Amino acid sequence: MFKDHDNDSFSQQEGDTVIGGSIKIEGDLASQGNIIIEGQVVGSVKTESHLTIGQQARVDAEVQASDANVSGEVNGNMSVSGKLELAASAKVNGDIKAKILRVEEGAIINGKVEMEGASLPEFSPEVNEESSLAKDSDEKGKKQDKKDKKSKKENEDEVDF
Amino acid sequence: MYYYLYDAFLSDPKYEKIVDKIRTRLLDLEIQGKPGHLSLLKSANELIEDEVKNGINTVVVVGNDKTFLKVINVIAKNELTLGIIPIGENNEIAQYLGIPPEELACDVVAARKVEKVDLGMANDVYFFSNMRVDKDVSRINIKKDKFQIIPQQNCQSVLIYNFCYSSGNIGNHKILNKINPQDKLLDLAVIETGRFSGGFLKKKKNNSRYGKTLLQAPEFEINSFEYLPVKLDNSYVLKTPVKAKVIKDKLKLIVGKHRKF
Repeated sequence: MFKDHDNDSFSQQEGDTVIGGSIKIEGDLASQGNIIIEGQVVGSVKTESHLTIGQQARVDAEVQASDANVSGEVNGNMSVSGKLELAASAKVNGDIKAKILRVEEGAIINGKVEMEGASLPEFSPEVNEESSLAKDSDEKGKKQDKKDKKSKKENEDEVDF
Repeated sequence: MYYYLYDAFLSDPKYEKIVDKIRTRLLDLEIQGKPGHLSLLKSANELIEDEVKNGINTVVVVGNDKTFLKVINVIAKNELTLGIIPIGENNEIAQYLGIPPEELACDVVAARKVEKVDLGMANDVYFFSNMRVDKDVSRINIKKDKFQIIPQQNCQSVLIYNFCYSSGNIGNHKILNKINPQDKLLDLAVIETGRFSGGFLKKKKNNSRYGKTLLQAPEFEINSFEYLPVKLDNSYVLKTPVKAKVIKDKLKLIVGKHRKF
């Protein structure tokens, strides 16, 4: 499902930021281009493009990206406006917010997962009419239930006498 | 007006014929200019500074990469145009600039196609290719914008590139291809220590001198607790702390059609 990013880390486009396994970054890492992390990052990571977190990587940061592939460890909340893919070796200790989420068997998530698709859709006028009809029928149903309950009580009272 | 600066190694009799051919060709093309010769007693800076007073606007070095790198500072400070006529070995810069060897280069100089490229500046010294730290790399930290880069134990060298003409330094062509002398950015590359493979007797390094990090920025700052040497273009040495920045379009270079940037 996921590629071995260690081997193809440099097949990305120009403007990539590549954090190798031999360095640690502390602070706010922000880029308009792709970011590939194979080392350590502490702070925050923001990119308007693709983010790749390699198998050996450790990211102790708030993460924001357009799309992301995670094979390593993330300790912090992740917010991905597009597609987030978690490989089997991925471990996320934090909340995830993504539009599309793909999780490989074995990946670990310790946190809440919120997806844009799960929120209520915006209703069109036609849909509103249907929903208002549905509301009316619900209300009628409730009234009917109340009437039934009242008549049952009356009947019970009659039995007592 | 052209000023031709011949390197000291060309006084060796084995280069006599080549130098004569070059002089003849320059004469044919009517761009003979004024010759100068480097020696133990005459530095490139002194010779060029003297000729600037006489109104030269173009310096053509005759020699190799070392000759070229020697004159970068004085060329940049005086805003001159720089060309090269490569002779002998170690001429990777000329290859990168698309300049053929020896007398063939005279035609490129005569065509005078000029490209502006960025230069790096470390403290107040210009560098053409790179600045690097090879010693105690894990004791430095590099500041960039809002974050700092801390090399770990398996980090062998840190290089900040403006222009990369040789693959020998990094060994990773995918990183090399991203280093562009006209992008108004410096490129930080980190070389990791190689892994060992094979048995005890066959012990050899794999992937040593292999760059795996690339960060781009117009400025970097190298700091350390103690003074550490920072080499500029493998010739000039500064001590930390060093502030490096890119100077846009600072150097005017004579290039050939087949340049690689």
